[in-house]
Formats: sequence, structure tokens, C-alpha cells
Amino acid sequence: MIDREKLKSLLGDESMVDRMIDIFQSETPGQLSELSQAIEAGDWSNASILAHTIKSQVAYLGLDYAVSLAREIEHKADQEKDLNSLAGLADALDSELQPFL
Amino acid sequence: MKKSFIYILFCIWIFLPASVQAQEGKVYFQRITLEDGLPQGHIFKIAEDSLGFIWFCTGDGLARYDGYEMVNFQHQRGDSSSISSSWLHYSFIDSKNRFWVGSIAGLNLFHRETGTFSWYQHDPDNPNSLSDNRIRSILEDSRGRLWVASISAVDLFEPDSNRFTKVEIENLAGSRHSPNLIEGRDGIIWVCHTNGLTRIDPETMQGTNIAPIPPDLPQNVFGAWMSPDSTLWISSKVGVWEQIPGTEDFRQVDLGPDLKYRSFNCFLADSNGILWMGTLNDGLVKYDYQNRKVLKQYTYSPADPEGITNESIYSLMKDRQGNIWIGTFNGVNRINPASEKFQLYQNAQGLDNFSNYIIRIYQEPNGRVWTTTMNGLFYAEHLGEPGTVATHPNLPKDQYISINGFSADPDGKVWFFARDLGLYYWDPIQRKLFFQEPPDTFKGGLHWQITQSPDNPDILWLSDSHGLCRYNKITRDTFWVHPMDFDPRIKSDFSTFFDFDQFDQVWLVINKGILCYNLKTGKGKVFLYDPENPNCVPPEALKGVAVTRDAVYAASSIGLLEIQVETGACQMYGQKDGLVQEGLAAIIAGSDGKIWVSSNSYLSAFDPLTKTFKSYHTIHSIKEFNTYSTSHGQNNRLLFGGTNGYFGFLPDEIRDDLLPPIPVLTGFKVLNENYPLGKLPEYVHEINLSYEDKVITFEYAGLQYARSEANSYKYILEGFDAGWQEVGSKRDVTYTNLRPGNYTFRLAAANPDGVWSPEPLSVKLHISPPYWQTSWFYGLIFLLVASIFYAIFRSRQRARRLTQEMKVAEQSARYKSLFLANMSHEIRTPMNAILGMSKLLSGTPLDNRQQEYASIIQRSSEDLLVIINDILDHSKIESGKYSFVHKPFELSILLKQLQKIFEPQADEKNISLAVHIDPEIPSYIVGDQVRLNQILINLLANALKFTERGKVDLFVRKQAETPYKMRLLFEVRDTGIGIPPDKIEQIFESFEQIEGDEFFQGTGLGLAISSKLVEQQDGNMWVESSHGTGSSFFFELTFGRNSEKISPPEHIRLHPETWPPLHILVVEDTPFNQTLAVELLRNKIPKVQIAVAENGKVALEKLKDQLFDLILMDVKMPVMDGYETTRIIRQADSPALNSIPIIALTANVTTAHMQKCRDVGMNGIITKPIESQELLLKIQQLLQLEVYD
Repeated sequence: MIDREKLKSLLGDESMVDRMIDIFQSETPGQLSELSQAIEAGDWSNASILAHTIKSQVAYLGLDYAVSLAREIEHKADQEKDLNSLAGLADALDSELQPFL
Repeated sequence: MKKSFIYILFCIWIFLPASVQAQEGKVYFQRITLEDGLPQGHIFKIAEDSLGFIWFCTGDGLARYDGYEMVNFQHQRGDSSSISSSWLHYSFIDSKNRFWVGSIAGLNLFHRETGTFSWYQHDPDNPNSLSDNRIRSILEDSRGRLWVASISAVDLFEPDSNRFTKVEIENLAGSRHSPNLIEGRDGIIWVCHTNGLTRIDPETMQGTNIAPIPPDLPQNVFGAWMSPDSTLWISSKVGVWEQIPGTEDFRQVDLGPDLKYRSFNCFLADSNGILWMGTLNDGLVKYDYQNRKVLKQYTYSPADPEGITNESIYSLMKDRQGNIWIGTFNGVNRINPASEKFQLYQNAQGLDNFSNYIIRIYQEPNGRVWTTTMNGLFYAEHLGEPGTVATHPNLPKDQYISINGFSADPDGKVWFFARDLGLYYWDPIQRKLFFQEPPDTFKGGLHWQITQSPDNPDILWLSDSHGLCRYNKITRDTFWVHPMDFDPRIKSDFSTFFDFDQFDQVWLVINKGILCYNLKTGKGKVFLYDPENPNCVPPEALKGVAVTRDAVYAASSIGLLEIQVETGACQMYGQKDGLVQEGLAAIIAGSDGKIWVSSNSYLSAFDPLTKTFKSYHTIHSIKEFNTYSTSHGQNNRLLFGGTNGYFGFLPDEIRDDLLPPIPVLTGFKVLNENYPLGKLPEYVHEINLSYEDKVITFEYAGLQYARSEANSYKYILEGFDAGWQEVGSKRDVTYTNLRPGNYTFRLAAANPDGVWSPEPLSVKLHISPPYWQTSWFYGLIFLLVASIFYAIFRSRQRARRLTQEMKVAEQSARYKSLFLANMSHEIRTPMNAILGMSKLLSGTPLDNRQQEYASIIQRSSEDLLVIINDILDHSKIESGKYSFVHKPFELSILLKQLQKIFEPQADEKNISLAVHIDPEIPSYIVGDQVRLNQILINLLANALKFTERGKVDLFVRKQAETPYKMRLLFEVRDTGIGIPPDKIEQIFESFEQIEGDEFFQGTGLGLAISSKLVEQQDGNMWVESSHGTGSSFFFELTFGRNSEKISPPEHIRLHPETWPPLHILVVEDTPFNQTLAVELLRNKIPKVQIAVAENGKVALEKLKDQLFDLILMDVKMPVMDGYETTRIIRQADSPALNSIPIIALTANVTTAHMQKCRDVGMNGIITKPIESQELLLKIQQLLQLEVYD
């Protein structure tokens, strides 16, 4: 469930929250597919940036599990460790966010 | 006759069995977190292996837990014997004891003995490979076949032929969380996923999606459970559904009205028809699935350190010892409500709640519990229910009321005396308190116990500072027993607790003694403190009495006093009889014939037959018992009040936990390093060592998870130890200098109740005789000796030359260091040869022992190189070639770490070690942290070395400061032997060791290096000492102030409405973050103008033609990141530009990131998600917009 309270306390009113969710819903699918492409291409620095971006966005919406997934992707891409899991984690992040997009 | 009839009636009434109602106490959730070694917090699956270890699948590896420590198995890049990925969703041990682990990058077979893994991954060229690497669930069906579910497929897996057969399922792709696999009636495999439900026919392997899902069931299946009667239960977003037998339809399961969240991730059936249900986001639910009733919900509360750690439950598992393991979004919890002997009850939830500080307690025969607390008088209708405040207009609210005793009369009225406030009773029919005007003789007394007369319903017995009173509550007549009347030695009538015996006598605790008063004859017998008879009444107040058929017991601070009723013989029992803590708090007789006493943190039962104690400790972390706080309860229950609630238990049902721990080997070391055994230690039963392996260590554990810290151990090394060594809770043993031969190491473990494992662990140890005879060994020795001779020869030559030159030249110190440098250099060359040769040697085919020798040579050479490098370091300093860094660091953390390093050493010598830091010194200072650390280590090590008693103090004071710099004075002060005045001069000189002078022995280079390090940083070091009373080493150093301002004091208030108009540049890469930052600033700051740049390059463009008051800079961006951008801005020529305040916005909170932000010149850091308060404070502070209250 998206936690609207956090955004509301930052931005003041409900319509601003709606606007942020609109932006989230229009931006995220592109970011997710870019993330998958970056991982497929082995472009770890770009993958890290994209995961970082998604992480900071979903954090505002209170989607904790998605934050964990994105954090893990960013961390692994930064360290270039456990790269085997990256494609799977990106898929997991995708399916985790699908219901909110 | 009539009297005894009433008495019998009364007894029957007292012991009438009452219905058992909510009596379960607080459940203790043991926490296992990152601090305990978990590699990561998400616990997707928990398993128990055949040895009894617990395994956690986490987001960063597989973790093995033994009750004490964690061993983690993670993916290692390039190592195909490590796990295929560290993000793990599932583990499963099949009926052939194969350990399967499902990761996000394939299936792993875990070779448990060796700790290695084999991978099964998708191969596009192999139709028989795994269909999808993202494993979610593994199932073994009743035919022994394995099913593997991944995000997009379900495979039937035959490990023997390494063949995966895919089952076609239409709408599985895109499902999240699940799928779960579960086997139902007739071998049908159910696949539960967030797109619905699919059944797989075990014969045809056809997957069919279930169409007739009830219309109100959203197509979202989370958890699933197969009930014992093979009914499929599934959880959707809004509730739980069960399949109607014989159909494919579902009906809703009644969860009652109270649950707020109804989506469940996981289920676990327990005994007695209990189903544990883990919710998606609201804790754990205990459900009675036979009677369809929610029994309890356990939710996360930050205030409760004994509660569940997180609201999201991912996995549940019950182990063979009966523990329930709960995997959450943030750590593991373990509960075992059934094994808890003592139930904890509370009036209110949470820690440090005065309502749970139980000063007195009483339970009525019908179950109502009365408690006097620091927050006033409470009652609870039954044990386990929260308390209600009992009110009366005369009684003050929310504060302590002095009520020392309660008693119920045959009408069910509960009587008590409140000090200075009079006599009250609770009327059970009207359910309220009534006041009764007490007779004048009660006035001014401190009232203690109140007890209904056993033979007359109208009579209450009361004790107070005037003595013992027989009070008729109908006629209000009083009859007083004054202790002073019985013995001239008694100086006060002050009376507290009393109890009746079978001979119509009342035993009354009086000042410094006990009065035994005969109700028939009116005669009394006193037992008073007598220095001649130390085994009788102690010279202090007794904490209560308990009368049994044969003896009277009283609790005291030195143990338990026993007085024989008939003979008056006294005896004191204490530690020698098994009592753990002698300072007793309260006393009561149990229905088990034992005398129960509480002390500070233990409950102990005294057995009058064996005259011994058995002590118990509860699992709850807060367990201090309060003085006098105890009561008999319903159904022979005993109650004891403590500082955080009250404990209740049935003494007849207190049994030892008979389940012993399983002893296992968890480590084996030679010379304190893990020894390669070829397998994990728990599988090792035989170890072969050589004569050279002089120092060996066994590490072990007893697998038993309820209070594993209270397990105890004993071991024997047969062939060496004469008998079993009982070592308490210690979990390792080291043997040195074992002779060659055969030994057997045996280990037994006991649980906290002292029940030992029947079958000890047994490990054979074989130590082979010395092995000298190989030619390569001789050769190597020759090479080594020759190299050393060569090195000494060469350096002597040079030394001789240098010494001559030294005589000629005056710069003797410089030559000395040159000499050292050269000598080290000369040693290094052959040393490297030895190192290289031994490495080459390791590469050739060698047997284990030779390999081991080669590695010892290698290790020793490496150690020697470290020493040589140190010497080089020193000569570098001497010759002034040393450079220092200037970086911000946290001084207090450095000092804390130092204290930690030296604490064990100080403790060992029983010296106190303290660090005193001037509070005016800012937490961050700029300087060379590593060198400061090195200096302080040298000084502290020195101080501790020469101090035998007393203390060592480290003082840090601020000497002087400018806006940018400050000078700090460090002092290390000890109370050691001090330095003789004639040696003070020499103390900082290197290599001034005087032959045969014990004082300087071993001081080595430490002080010399330290003083040089200080001098080279423009500081100075000196010492003040008086021989015999201690020394103080001082040094002064200059540090930079951190460019980042000190965090604002709390009294600063935010008033953005008073701020001048601000022009802010937001550098953020995505529309979401841009909009958020802009709208946040607009929302919080009234007069603000904002410009946006999507990366560093654009920002630099904007900065060219616009002036800003502040930049908010995202750190991680494409094209040009925040670090680079800041660096360029700081290097700009224009002062308006290079001094502009920059706040970093980052979603990464590691210290390395923060350090990098500071290093490039950012002025502040705000972590995402942004908290508006934090951001505004930072802006206010950077732009100096402070408003002080």
C-alpha cells in the first residue's frame, strides 16, 4: 500500500500527493526497463544510478520492500559483487512495483 | 462444632475450582538481529537441519545459527562452489536430507558437510534445465518428487537425472511475492500466486487455473496452508478462505471482528489446534482453527523490548525443541510460550511503566487480581487482562497509595487499609469501593497485613504499628495484641506479617523478631535476635512469614529462617544450601509443600524435606522482584510482584526442562587460526595433527535455543585430562604442548535446568611424532640460516662503517636512522627471497604436513616483514620524510575505541581506565586520525604496563582556539611506578635501552615514535613524574575546526516566515525528485524562488548567469554527479560562486559517502527521504537565519 501521509506532511495537500503519484506512475516503468537493460548490458554504473533513483522515489511512498530491493541492486552494482542476482532482483523489483503503476 | 463447620465451608469456598480464563502471560520474543551477526534483516525462510542448527535465508546470504553465533554463506564472485546468489527466498531439506536453497539466481544444492554448493540454473540451450532462475518455493510431494516454483514457472525436478520438466501455467508470469507450492488431497499440487490459484494434476502434469473463485476473493493469493484434514486455506488481501470439501469453491474463514489487517504471508500449525498466522504488515496472529477464534495478536511496538521486531512476517518455523521461529522484514524472533514456567502479567503495556511496578499483590479466590503500584491501585478481572484503576473519592489518583495488604471475606468483599486514608472494601455486586470509618485505635498506624479470620466471617485480623488487632467489621469491636507486653526486650509494638498454624497460634513478625501468640491461652513465645545464636533471628526486619504443618519460615536478607513449631529449634539456610541470592524479598508456602522465596532476580523453592533450594530465572529481561510482594492465587497459583509486572505460576507444575542441548563442535583452531579440516567442524569426528601444532583450541556449542546463554558445558580430553572439566558457560578450550599420541575429546552440554546431554560429542585427535627427516626441510633451514648470516654480515659491515662516520660527523641521530633503514633494507631482501621460495614451495606437490610447514615459514616471514617495516617507519620519521593527512574525524569515537581496546587489559589488572573529554571540543576535528591514534595507543599501553593498581586517565582539554584552529592538550595520567628523575631526560630517546636496566626493558620504540610524531606535527610532548606515585605524559597538537558547523542546539526554533526571500538551485535528475524538492521548498518556505537543473552540467550553466543563495545537490546523477559539480564550483575564481552553500541530498547514508561529500566541499548533508524539519534547520543554519528563543 502506498503511504500517502509522508508525502502529505512534506507537500501540504492531497492534490500535491496525487501529482507526485502521477509522476511516479509515469516515470517508473521507463526507469525499470532502463534498469533491466543496463543490467543486461553489464553497465553497472548506470544500473547503480537507476536503482538509486528508484530507491529514493519509492522511499517517499513507504514501499519498504521495494526500497530494500533497489538498495540491494545499487549496492551490488556498486561493488560489482553477486552480479548473478541482479537480473532477478530487478525483476523482483519490477513485479513488486507493478501493482502500484 | 459450629465453628469448625463454618471453617470447612469456608475452605470449600476458598478452593472452589474456578473457570480458567485468560491466563496466558506476556510472550517473550527473543530477538536475533544484525547485531547478532545476521547478514541482512529480511528473513524469507527458516529451516532446521538434522543436527539441530537453525538456518535463515536472507537478502544477503544463508546464515547458520547455533544459539550464540552466526556463520554466513554468501556468493563469492568467481567461486562456483559458493552459493549462486546471496538473495535467497527459500530453503528446504528433503526426505533424503538434501539441503536445497532457492536463490534469485538459480537453485542450489548445499553440501552441508563441506559448506559448498552446486548450482542449477536456466540454460536456454537445454530444455531440461531450470525454467526460471528466480526461485520462490520448493516442495517435496508425498511421492518424494521435488517441485520448484519460480516467478514465472513451476518445474518438476528429478535430481538424479538432473532434469527439470516445466508445467505450463497460463497466468503465472508477473505474479509477485508468491508462488507458494502446497500439496493437497490426492497428491494435487496447488500453486498459489498473486494472479490466482492453479492446480497441477500429479498424473497428467497439467496446470489448471481455478475459475470459480468466489466473487469477493480478489485474485491475489498470498499465503496458503493445508489443514490437518487436508483442506486448502488461502489468504487474499482481505481475508482467509478455505476450500469447501469436494468442490473447488471457497468460503471465507471467520476471523472475528477485531483484526484490522487480514492478509497473511505464512501459516504454521502448532499443537492444541493453534494456527500461527504471519501477516503482511500487522504482526503475528494466534488463531484457534478448531474453534475458529482469534486468540491474540502480537504487533510491533517500539516501546516494548520484549515484543516482535517488525510488523511484516515473512516466514514461520517450529523446530524439534518446540521453539517457534518468526522471520520478519527486520530480523528473527523466537518464542516458546509453552516452555515458559513463569508467566509475566502486566497492568499496562510497555517498559518502565509505573503501573507495572507491583508493590503489593493479592488474588481473590474468584480470580480478580489486586495490585498496589507506583501509579495507584489496580484490579484485573483475571490474570492476563490489563489492569483497571480502582477509584474512590477519598483516594488520590495516578500516584502511589500505601496499601500493604488485602483480604477477601466470605461475601466476596475485598478489604484493605490505606495509610492515613482509612479502611475500604470492594463490593463485588455494586463493583465499587466503599469507605468504612475505622475505630480510633487504628489512627496513625502503619498498616500491614489484613487477613480474614479462618473461623469467623465477621472477623478481620490486621497488623500495624500498634500490634495485631482482631477487628469485628460488624460491631467494630477491636482486640489488640501488643508485642511489648510479652518481653521487656521488645522496644516497639510494630508488627508486620502474620500467619496461623494448626495449633491456634498466630506467628507475627515484630521488630527484630517473631512473636508466637496462642489465640486460646493468650500466651506468647518470642524469638528475638541473639548474638549468641546466629542461626536464629537476624538483627533486622524480616520480609514475611510462611507457616507449614511442622515449621515456620521467615525471609531475611541473609537467607531463609526455619523455626520448628513444636520445639522452637532454629536454623538459617542460604547459599551453602543452593540459594543463589541470599537477600530475600518475599516468601510464601506453595501447594507443592515447598517454601517459595523471591530475591532480586530469582525465584527459589526450598524443599523442607531435603533442606535445599532450587533457583529459577525467567526468560523475561526485566525481573527484579519487589520486597513483600507475593500472594496466593486462584487454583494454588503463587504470585510474585516485580518492577515490571507480576509473575504467576502453579508450583505443582514447575518441572525441569528435560530437553538437553545437542553438543556440537563449532570451530577448531591451531595457534588461534582456523585449521583446515576439509569439512565444517560440526561434521568432524577425527583430527590429525603434527607434533608442531602446539596450541590447539576446540570451540563448541550446545544447540538449545531457550536461554542458550545459561547452558553449561563440561569436557574431557581423554589421554590428557584426569576427569571431566565443568566449565560453566565457557565455549572453548585450549590445550598446549600435547605429546604425540591418540586422544579423544568429549563434550557434554546442559540446559539451564542442569539436564545434561546423554550422548557426549566425541572427536578423536591424533598427533603424529616429529617429522624432521626430509632433505627439503634441511635445505630450507640451510637457506634460512645462510640468509640471516649474510644479512648480519652485510649490516655489520655497514654498521662498522657508519659508526666510524658517526664519530666523525655530529649528526649521529640521522646516521642512526640511516643505519636502521639500511639494515632493514638488507634484511628485507633475503626475507623476500625466503617468502618467495616458500610460496613457490607451496605450489609444488606436497603432502598436508609439508604444506603446513611451508605455510608456517611463509607466515613467520610475513610477521618479520611487518616488524622490519615498522623500523623503516621510524627511520622515515627521524629523517623527516613523513607526511600527515588533514581530514575531519570524530574525536570522541576515536577515544571510545581506544578505551575499548585497553579495557580488557585494564580489567585484568583491576585498574580503572577513564577518558575525560572537554565538552567544549566539537565532535568533529580536522587532523591526522591515524597518527593521533598511534600516539595515544603508545602512551596508554605504556601507562597500563607500568601501573599495578589505581587508575589510568586520559584527559583531553582545549588550550586555545581561533575560528579555524584549536590547540588540544592530551594527558595520559597513571598511578604507576613513576620515572626516576635521572631517567626522565632519556625517556623519549630511541634505542636508549640501558643494558640490564629493568625499567627500560621492552619500551622499544613506542615513546620515541610518539614524541617524534607529535613534534613533526608542530606539537610537543613532555612528561611529569614523581617516582613511586605515577606519571603524566602530555602532548599538545593543533587541529583544524571542521568546516561543517556544529549541529544546532535544540532550543533553536524554525521561523521560515521571517526569512528573507531566498533563491535556491535544486539539482536533481528525475522529475519525481525535482518536483518533490521544489514543492517541498514552496510548501515550507513562504518567500522562495527556485531553479531546477537536471544534472551537474546544467547546474554549472545556470550558475554562470544567475546568483543563488543555496544549492540543493543530488549526489548520484548521470552526466555529471554532485561530487564533481561541487568540486568545480569550489574551484571557481569568483568568490560569490565558490563560497555558495551546498547541501548534499543523498539516499546513501554510509559514513564513506558522507565523508566524500565533505571532502569535495559540501556544507551539509540531508539524507533521502527528506525530512522537512531537518532540511529547514540545515538551511537556517547555513544561511545564518537563526532565531533563538
